[in-house]
Amino acid sequence: MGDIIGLIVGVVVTLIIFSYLLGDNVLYRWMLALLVGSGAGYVMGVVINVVLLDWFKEALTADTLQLQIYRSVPIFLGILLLFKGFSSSKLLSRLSVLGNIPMGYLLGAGAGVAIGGALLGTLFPQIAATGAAVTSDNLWNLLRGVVMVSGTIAALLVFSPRSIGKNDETRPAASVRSPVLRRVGEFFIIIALAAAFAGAITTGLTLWVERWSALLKAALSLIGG
Amino acid sequence: MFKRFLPTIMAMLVGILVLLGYLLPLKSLAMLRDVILLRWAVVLAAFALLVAYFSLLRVHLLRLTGARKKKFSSLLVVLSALGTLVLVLVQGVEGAWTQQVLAAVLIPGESALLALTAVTLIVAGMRILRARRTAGAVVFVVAAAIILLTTVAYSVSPNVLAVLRQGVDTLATAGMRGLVMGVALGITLTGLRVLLGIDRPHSDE
Repeated sequence: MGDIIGLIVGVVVTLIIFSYLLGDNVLYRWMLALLVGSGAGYVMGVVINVVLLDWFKEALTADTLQLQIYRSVPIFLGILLLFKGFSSSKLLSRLSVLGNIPMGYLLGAGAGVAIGGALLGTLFPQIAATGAAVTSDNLWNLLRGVVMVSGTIAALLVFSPRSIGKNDETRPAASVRSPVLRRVGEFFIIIALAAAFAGAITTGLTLWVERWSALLKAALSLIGG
Repeated sequence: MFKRFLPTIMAMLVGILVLLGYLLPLKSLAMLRDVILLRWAVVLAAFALLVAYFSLLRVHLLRLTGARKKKFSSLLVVLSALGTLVLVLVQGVEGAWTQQVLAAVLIPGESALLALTAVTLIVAGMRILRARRTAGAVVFVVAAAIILLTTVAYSVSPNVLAVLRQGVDTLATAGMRGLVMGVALGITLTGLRVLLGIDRPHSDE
């Protein structure tokens, strides 16, 4: 019985969202509200169950002082962070400044992880892969490698602050003066964005087919009993 | 003191220790990063999510009490947010009704929204040449068409248009690498500004 209800609810949700193709309508907006609410509730429930409750339990059952301190510090910082939620309250808004300390912790940790990830996970491997492209013995692959290296450099230069247009007052004195180089970089970036666009369409179409297939299966199973 | 000084010191100290944990091959620093600093950050991020959740509820409850339109949407957000949270807390993540909410509402709803994106993107792609017929727009549409067509052709006959596809892939990879490296450099600079105390977003500056 629960499965059939789930099936019908899934079909209704899908059809209401697809109704947007006929025009923006109130049912579609209500469905978005329902998705936002249930998504937020689900994520919050999972986080409380998996992260917070476990951590609290371990803090209460810690048998050594060191372990108790280790478990209590983030709870204390977390309680301070909750004061950030009172910034709009007249009575408690003064306490919201205490939330800046855990915010500083989060931003510092985030910045450290982001820099480490950007350098070790993206920049160095991408430089190595771009360089490796010009080491092939095969002429066709070598040609592709040369195009790849030049394209990467040209695309990177387009995003340099030095290549900002002349009308921009923040433009530094030195700039990428060659319009040809800028055009080449833009060409490579446009192709990359087109590839991302095509990838998004392919993914969306796959889901489109999957949804209609699920609707058809649900209809057949309901008709067949 | 609490507004600027302590938060900035905290951000610099934690950030530099985490970064050193990645850059220096020292086991003690890696341990400090993984076992203490990042695990505490995960717990703090959970608290931050709690703040965001209550903020969402507060905004929609205020809309319900105000004289605005679209009150029913806000009511739906509040009821579904509270209802799902209670359900997950009572039944747990693996509970039967929790799984039913996931399988009957969230997964079909979000898949359908993504599927809708495909249709919207195709319509936008068809309109781009009508809106502005520049060289860039033409290159964009032609490249996207080649990638989409060769994706279909690959499944029909792997050898058809293979060289053309390889060529477009090479150009796309080069552009994407440039973009990704630019983003990585941007992230590094922004992160360094936080670690050096030049930017202080934690103090609302």
